[in-house]
Amino acid sequence: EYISILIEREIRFGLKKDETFVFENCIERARADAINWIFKTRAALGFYFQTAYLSVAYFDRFLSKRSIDNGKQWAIRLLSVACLSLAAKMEECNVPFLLEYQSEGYCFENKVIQRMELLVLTTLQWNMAIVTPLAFLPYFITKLCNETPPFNIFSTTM
Amino acid sequence: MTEENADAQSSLNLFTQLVQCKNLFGHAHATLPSNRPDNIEGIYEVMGILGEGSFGRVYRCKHIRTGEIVAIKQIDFRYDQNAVPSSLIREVSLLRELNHDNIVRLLNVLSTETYVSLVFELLDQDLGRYISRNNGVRDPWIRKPATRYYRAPEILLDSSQYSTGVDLWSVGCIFGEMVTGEPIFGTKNSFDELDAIFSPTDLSYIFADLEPQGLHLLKMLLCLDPKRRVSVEGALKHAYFNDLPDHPRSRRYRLILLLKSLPVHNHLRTKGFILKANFQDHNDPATSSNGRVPADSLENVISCTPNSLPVLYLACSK
Repeated sequence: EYISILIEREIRFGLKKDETFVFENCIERARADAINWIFKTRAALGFYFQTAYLSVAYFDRFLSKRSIDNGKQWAIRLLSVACLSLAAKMEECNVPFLLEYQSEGYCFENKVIQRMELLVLTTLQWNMAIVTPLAFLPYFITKLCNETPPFNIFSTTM
Repeated sequence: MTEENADAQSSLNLFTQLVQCKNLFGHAHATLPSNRPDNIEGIYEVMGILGEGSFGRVYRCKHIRTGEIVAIKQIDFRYDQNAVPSSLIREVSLLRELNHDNIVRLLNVLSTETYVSLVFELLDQDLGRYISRNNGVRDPWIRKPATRYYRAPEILLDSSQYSTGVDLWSVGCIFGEMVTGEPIFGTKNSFDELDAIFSPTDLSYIFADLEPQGLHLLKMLLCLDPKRRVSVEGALKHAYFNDLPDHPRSRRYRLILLLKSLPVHNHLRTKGFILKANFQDHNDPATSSNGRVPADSLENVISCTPNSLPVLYLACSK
């Protein structure tokens, strides 16, 4: 029953079927960098894998609705920071201060991050409880293996 | 470590927690802009203030173009160190997904740099209660979940790591209330609440009318240590429910329904919900005065259960 709810929500709030991610080359590269940064920061801050995954989902959804001129590097980084911070606020018990997201030559003021967060929220129309494939995992593992999923399944899957 | 040592250690911890707690209670709460605005983002005309709480204010507003009357909850996060507060993000993203007759509908979200306005449909009578309950539910600046009378000690002590056990504590409180007709830890503020919880009391004396099995279950529910508190499954298997009368208004029957509803709540609320009751009896002083819910009907019992994290306004209409 829970699973059917998940599936329904995934369809309702997911991307349309014919909507594929075709980004320009430079964005593609920037996206790879951004994902890299998100996962590195995830490890540094000790977030769950779900959190990183979720922030990438926000990132992609944002870019599918808005574009960043010429894939400006700082803008991409700011977007990554905002997405990761939003995902952390959805998933993590302990949310770090915005300051802790700073790294690698970029230093954004709290105000700026806040504005970006709001922009992401409005762009995604506040639909932040996105169903990721990870949500299905424990169910299928229990079904297929007949055992309770181990605590670290997400990291193993990644 | 010897047992005695461990005990000393834990009471020391408790003391530290209490001191921290006291510091928290001493805080002044951030001031809201004192004047009410004439309009909100030029779209809604403000007609009056419906309520005020830790989160900000709720206004009664009229859509300037369509004339639609709505309630707008303004949440101010100017003083928030961490930009948009996570409770707000969780609350809104959940409300965005919910579309049900019994749930207060979130019509729109307007945001500016320092605050967000949530536009809700206005449920005349009811909204007053939604606000008053909400005030009860969240103390200023601490944002504590669960109406105070039903709050587990670990929440009152401001632990950031609490779990489903808080609901079982609440069930215990409601169970006790069903027996005596009074909230068992009904006190004026969180401090007294802790005092009441930690003062040594003999439950068997207060609940002399209760069957021994019921008393046993109550003690298991009101176990101070969340780790040793009984689980939902454990409680449902308790001998107290062995010969269940099928009278739907009997205490045991209501209690078992309440327990069974918890996993549903937890499921909804892994991401955060609070249930809100839609009481038909608006004249009942007990429900209208202090936001407390009398445990005298099933709907009420279920609706005043426990909650953690942000908010779902779910109206359980009869």
